[in-house]
Amino acid sequence: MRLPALMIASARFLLLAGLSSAALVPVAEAQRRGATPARPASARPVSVQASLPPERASDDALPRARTGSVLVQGATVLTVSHGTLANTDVLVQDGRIARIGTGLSAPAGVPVVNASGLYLMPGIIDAHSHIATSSVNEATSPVTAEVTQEDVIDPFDVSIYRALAGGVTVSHVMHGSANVIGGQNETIKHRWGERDPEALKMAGAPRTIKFALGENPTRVHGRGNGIVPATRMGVEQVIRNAFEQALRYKAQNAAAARGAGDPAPYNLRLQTLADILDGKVLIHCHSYRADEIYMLTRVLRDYGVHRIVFQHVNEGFKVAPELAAFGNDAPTVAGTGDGVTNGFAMASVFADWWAYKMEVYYSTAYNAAVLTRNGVVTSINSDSNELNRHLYHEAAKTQRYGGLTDDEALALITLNPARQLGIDGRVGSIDVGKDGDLALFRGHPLSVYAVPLGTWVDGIRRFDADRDGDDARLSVRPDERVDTATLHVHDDHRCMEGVDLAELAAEATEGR
Amino acid sequence: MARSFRLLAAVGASLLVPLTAAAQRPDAEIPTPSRTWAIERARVTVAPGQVLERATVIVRDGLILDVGTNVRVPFDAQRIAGDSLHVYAGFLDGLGNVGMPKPDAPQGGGRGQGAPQGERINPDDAPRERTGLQPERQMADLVKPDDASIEAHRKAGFGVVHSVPYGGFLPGQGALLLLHGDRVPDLVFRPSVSLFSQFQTARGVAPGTPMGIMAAWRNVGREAARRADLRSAYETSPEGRSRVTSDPVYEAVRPALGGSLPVYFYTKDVLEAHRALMLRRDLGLNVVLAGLPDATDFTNRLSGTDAPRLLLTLGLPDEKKDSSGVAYVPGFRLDRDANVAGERANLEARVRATRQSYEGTAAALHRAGIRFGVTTMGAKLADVQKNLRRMVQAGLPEDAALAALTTHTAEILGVSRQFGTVERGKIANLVVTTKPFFAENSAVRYVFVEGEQYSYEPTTRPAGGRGSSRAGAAASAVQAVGTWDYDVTVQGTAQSGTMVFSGTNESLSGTISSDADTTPLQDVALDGATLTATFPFQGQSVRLTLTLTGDTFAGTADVGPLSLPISGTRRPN
Repeated sequence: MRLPALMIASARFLLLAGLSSAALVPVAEAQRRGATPARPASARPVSVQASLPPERASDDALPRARTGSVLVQGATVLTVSHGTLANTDVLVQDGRIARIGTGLSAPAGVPVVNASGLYLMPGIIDAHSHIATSSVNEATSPVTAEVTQEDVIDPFDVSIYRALAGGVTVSHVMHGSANVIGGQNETIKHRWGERDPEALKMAGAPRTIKFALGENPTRVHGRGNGIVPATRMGVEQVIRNAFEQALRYKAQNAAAARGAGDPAPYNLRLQTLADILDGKVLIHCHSYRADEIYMLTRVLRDYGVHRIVFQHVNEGFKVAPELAAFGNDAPTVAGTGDGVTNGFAMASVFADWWAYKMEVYYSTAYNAAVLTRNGVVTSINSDSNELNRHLYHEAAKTQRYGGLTDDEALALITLNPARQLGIDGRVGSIDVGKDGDLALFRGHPLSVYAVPLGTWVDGIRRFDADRDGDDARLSVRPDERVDTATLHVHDDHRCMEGVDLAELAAEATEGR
Repeated sequence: MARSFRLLAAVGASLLVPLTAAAQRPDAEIPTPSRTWAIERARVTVAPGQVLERATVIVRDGLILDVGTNVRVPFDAQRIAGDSLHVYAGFLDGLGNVGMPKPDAPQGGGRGQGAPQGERINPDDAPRERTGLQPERQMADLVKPDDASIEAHRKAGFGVVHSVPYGGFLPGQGALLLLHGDRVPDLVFRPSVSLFSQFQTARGVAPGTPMGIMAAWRNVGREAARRADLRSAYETSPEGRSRVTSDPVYEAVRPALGGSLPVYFYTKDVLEAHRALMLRRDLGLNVVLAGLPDATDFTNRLSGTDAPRLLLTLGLPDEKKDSSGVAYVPGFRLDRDANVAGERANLEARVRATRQSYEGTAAALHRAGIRFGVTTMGAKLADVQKNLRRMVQAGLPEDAALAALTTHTAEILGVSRQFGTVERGKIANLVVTTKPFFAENSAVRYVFVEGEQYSYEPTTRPAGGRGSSRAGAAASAVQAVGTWDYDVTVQGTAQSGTMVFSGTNESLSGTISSDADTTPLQDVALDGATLTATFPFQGQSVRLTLTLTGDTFAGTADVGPLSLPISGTRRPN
């Protein structure tokens, strides 16, 4: 029975929480969203594409993101990239950081913020989020690479505003973790107030896709539907089978392009998988255990995929050297920005959250510090529309557990997640030329006394603590019920949303 | 349906031709004495904003023969005294589910998992009727002339409906129906005029989410294009190619890709409308949007030469009386914890303001210069006239409202030459009302569809019927027995099913069902208007507390710490 099953499942949500995940993989070349992906299809004299517009129209068709200007004067500027600058001005013009220095004056019409005694840091970036989306899990198959969060961005979700109130300016909106290969993710800017979903999308951000290992996909598909995967062995095989199919798809289309045979029946799922193999889509993989993490690195090596971001990765500290070494033997890829690595495995973790189910029984609050000290690019994410409001506190925990420096700790929620999303050329630090995404605090953001006062996105102030009305929602439903306050414990984790929790509840009952 | 001379007699029309032949053969269809009609001395709205006082409309053989204040009434015309009556062009419904019974358990509606128990379906090879991918279905093949929805639509003033099948995300092709006649060919004015799509997810199989629907659409669109290209290449030079076999799904989608077959999307809100426009962009579709009660947030996408056309839903949020008089204050800040009631009142005022803004959607579109037609999707037919009145009260000029119902919808459907005005040469679809259509208590008196007359007696409330014995009425109003459709909201997701109560109010038993499962209810009791019951679910007890009002109930389903809002309506017998 569906209705009561969900009730039970909700009551037990604590058991289920934490199933979320995602994976980030920097893309070889800047694979701009606006560009037509290089598809292997177009065959011989027959051009399948001839009948259709490109898969993605140019960004010109989208509403241009609005930008603003501001001069923040006299702040303690935490650049993250080049240390802390006392009593410094930052000028943002038309959405970009134009100057950093002292004694700057505001061009005509540019608002000035007196930040004397306050702290200015780069806008916080959440590498794992399920806010601002209408649907999280297309849980109908172990592989659903064809779906994308890009299609279901919800600019009206008040979680965007609440994230801004915690200094967060960018979220990586991820597909859930029900499937081994889930859907594609979308990187958004928190342009709260814009009512068109297109206006939130961060144009130019690389494509990413969600993978998920372990208990979530085996429960949903194995135990829930009686199909592969029911075990971790099965999870690996689902990935290998999917990649094999994609290779065949690529091969047939490549042959057709040479004039040998017809192109394969169009298959958006296989096309997306082929794009992963071609390095055009970065994997962000939900994972917990060291064995499954290591398994995926070996699978990827077999298929020539040299870049991955592991999400959650609670046992990452056990395989930190292996993660640091992953991809170093890969062929050099041009245009990666930092040019340091040929490939990489990065990690996006919780500060101190684990033991919410068996596969994540074992972890440590030192995880982020251990990974960082081993040379793994590490971020701390929220996976939650509550936790994302105090990511600066989550970052600060690594100073208590691991003794990271201020810059190292702040990088966990700014520059490092930017690298994991392939957007570090644009955001993640206070540098001239980067986007005017800034967060202003009273008190150092790594202090427990930190209070966010203002948040700018592209130079536009999208959060102002002085003008923070009680009801910040952009719109309400006409049939909305105004409820008296209800405390929902952990209702905010959406990583298993869309999965019928009936089976899970039934299973929990049987297991007693 | 009652029509022709029997009803004329009721009106007291003078011209009654004796029909002895028909009287002798009571079983035979009674022939209509004449297909010529004259509605005399009525107030005729020829087109929105164009009114003729004391004018006569002549209808002959399904067409409007003449309109004017000085027209000759043919000798064989059946005359209707139109004094004090108002004549409009018959309304057009730009998108509706008409002429096909609503499936009991609609395909889809669930999310993600949740296939009926015991069923094993390969998720990647599910039957198309389960996934909702059925663009080859034709409304013209599915229509049933005796379906009750046809008469209901006609009675509401609609003579033409662009009707589409029920089903999943691509449930079939629409047909233009002319709402009269006993045979399918009479009803179908034009078959296959559109492809219909809606964001209706499947249950247990893909697409289980809106993003799944988007992916499925792109997949079918691009594959249809590939097949079409390969086929034409094969026909030119088959050497080295495989013949592309025919598949009705792709054949049906192909004409939509170039835009030659319009795609009507029912979009219940702006987010769905944005998705429809993404598909328009990616696949080159010619999109008509329908629904959009919150279109005020969408006017920028509806303006401009390349903008999609819109059929605004005639549905509105239910009217709720408010006596608080509190106005919404956007920047409200709670003064510590002192004024929780004030915050609550403000939140409620905001919901009211939103309801009002929905009433004002049509007016806002009009002010923005956007021409829109109408759809009955998302609307209760019985509320259409009232809702139009609410839209007019919210600032929509009556002429604009009438244009939406007639000329603008006709334009979008491409039938302006045949329908939408009361002009010579048009097909004789008319609505005749007792008062101006948008006035309080205006009732439809006659509807003509292609010259066929349908007559509706003014409804009069029986004297002393209501409120004469208030106590008795209240007691008898609460009646639990029957089959109820319920909706419950679980974590923001609406779920539905049925409850059946039997016995008497004093001794009730019942069952609750969702999907294929049925569970007996325990401890069913009715106290006044409050019905309570429990049922076990996997070791826990779910407690229902429902307040019955006539044929509806509202209440909660409590389990553990959760209290879920639940509401229901009784099915008519």
